[in-house]
Amino acid sequence: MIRMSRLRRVLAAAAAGAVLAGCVGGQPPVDETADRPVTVLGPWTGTQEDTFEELLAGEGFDYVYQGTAAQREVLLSQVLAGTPPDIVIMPNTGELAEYAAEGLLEPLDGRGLYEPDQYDAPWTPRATGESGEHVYWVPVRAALKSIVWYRAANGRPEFVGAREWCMGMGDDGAAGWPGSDWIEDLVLQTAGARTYARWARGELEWTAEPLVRAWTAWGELMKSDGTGPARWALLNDYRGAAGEEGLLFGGRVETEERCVAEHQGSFARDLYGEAAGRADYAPSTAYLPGATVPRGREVSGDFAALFDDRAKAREVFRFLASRDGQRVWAASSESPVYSANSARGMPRPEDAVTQRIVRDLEDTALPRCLDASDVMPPAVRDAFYNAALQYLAADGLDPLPWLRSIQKVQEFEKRRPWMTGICG
Amino acid sequence: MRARLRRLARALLFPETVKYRLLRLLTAVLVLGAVGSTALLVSYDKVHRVPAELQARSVPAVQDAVAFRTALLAADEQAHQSYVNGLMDTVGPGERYRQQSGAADQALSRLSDRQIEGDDGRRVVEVLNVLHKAYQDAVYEAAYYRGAENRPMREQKLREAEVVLGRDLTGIVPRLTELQRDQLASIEDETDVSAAEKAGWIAAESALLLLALVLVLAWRVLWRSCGRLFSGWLAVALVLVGVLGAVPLAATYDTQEKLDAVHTALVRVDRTEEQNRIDDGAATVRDTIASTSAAARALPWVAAGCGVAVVCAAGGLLWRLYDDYGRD
Repeated sequence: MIRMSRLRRVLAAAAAGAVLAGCVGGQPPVDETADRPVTVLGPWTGTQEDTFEELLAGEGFDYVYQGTAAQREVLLSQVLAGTPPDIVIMPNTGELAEYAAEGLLEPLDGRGLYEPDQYDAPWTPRATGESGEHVYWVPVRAALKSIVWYRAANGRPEFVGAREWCMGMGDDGAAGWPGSDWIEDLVLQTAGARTYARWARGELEWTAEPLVRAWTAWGELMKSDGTGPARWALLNDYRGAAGEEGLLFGGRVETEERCVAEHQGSFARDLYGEAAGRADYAPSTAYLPGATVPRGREVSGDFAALFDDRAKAREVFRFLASRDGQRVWAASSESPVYSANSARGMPRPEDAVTQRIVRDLEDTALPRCLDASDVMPPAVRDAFYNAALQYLAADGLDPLPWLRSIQKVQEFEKRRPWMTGICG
Repeated sequence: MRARLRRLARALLFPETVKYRLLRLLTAVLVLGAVGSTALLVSYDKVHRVPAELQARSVPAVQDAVAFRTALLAADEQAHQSYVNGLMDTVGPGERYRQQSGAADQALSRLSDRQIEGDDGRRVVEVLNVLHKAYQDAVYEAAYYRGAENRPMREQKLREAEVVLGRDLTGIVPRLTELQRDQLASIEDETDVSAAEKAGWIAAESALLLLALVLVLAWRVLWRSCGRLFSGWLAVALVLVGVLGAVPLAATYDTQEKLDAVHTALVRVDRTEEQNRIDDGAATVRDTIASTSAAARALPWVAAGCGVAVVCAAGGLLWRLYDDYGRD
């Protein structure tokens, strides 16, 4: 009897052990898709990268951030390898439009990923994807363009001569865009928002009169005082020399002359480093040849798009586009972070210049237009950048040879997706 | 009353007869033998596995990064020379540029395959690839713009290449420097003795020391209580335990020194741009790693030694128990 009882106990223990082993061995496998961290590819490096990472880490997100100025190529290589980031943040929506057309981006509208009421036109332009026209990206940072920076201590300049412009065409793999910004602003201020929007949508030929006028005006300005200004612009990087305080405060390579004004977006203050507080800005109209009154404001943004629809990625996306996310970001950054969200908070530092930028970004008295080159298909945009460089490098003032070249590219790209809702 | 109960319990559980003392010593031999052998083999294997892992992945990754940097800087120097000597119109950036640039491509491609920094490293290498391509494009475009009328564009492209190559934080060289620093930190972690490894060795050596003590006690019991002055089994076991306690530890110490030497050599290779020094460093690394292979191959012998020691110790005691008490 006793033996039976012992045997039973041994059997019971063995059975319990087997059940336990089965439970442990039969645990469902870890879902790696859901478990892996959210990957974010963005344009920020250095302190901006630190701020962004602190923002996500502060909210307890499991994420991996990769920051590079050469993100177009990195993104393409990741997409081709079948491992795109979950979220990509980039200014070039024209690039994103191609991914949307290929069905690689998740449509955002009607899914609670952002509050449409908080993003006025033109911040959520629509693009055509596999399932029709949708919103595929939301700006998580905004920048005001159509402005000119100067040293506050010197007062607002009445006139800026060709040799006095701080201009650098260089960038990592995307040289020429500061020139395209000049031309875009000239088109907007001299031809108006309607013409500008038609041009950005590919509905205006590059050889049309408003464009020829804008290019020629830029050429005349840059080439009016010998070859120096154009040459300096070609040899300088838009960020200025490494470790210096941007072009405005740090000086330029190839010349000892100090420049006095810089046609650059609101992000220029990030380049000025310690000198950021000593910079002030004015609307660009007064300095653009042929412009008389402001006819619009060029704006740009860093737009977040979703490649992967998994819950973890949606959560991070929702936070970045939300009012709270934008407020926390603005409040946590040492350098001002501007938001396109109408319910945004005031960025730090809350100085007069920052407040004016926020007001100008909010102001709807003038049409706001997205950076035209950012919304164009990449091939047209790159031709535009390259033509800006070559035109600057050339002796003559006639821009038609370069404009015809870009027009050829544009005609070839007609079948590519173009965006709508560029000005608003 | 309580003392009496305790004495009774002890007499029942731990009877002070010779047979039970030998049985207790046998149990101790088996337990300490198992613990000591396991800890020794695991600790020995862990250290001696590192050279092969270094040879397979980490060292080539560091060398590829060094090769990439060296070839890239040499290519840049060649392109610069071609420009300042007025040869760019005729030969473009030059044949040596193409050769070095091709070598940089190869090194970067190998680095992509076997970088050691996990996902972080993969991302850095990805950006390096893109930037390297941007750099090469800029140099070739500079060569494409020929003649005096295109000089501004050529200079623009060369300046662009220079910025892509060396600008703080964002350029190829600063990013590569950071990757190389991380690589060396990884290798330092890999070659350093971790706290877990130290604990493993302490456990192994303590268990072997206690095992030797138990064997001496067992010998004493056999001598005093059974009148047997010499036990061949226990003598062999005792010698083996002594050897196992000393030789693998000495071999591990030696391997560890060599791993430190490998790390130092890699740091030297990483910080130089002179090809001779790179070659010397690579040879040192190769030879040092090769010299650890004998110790790594000794693992089965260590395992056999552990087995024989435990079998001899337990066998000696079991033999005596069977011989003297088994027929009761």
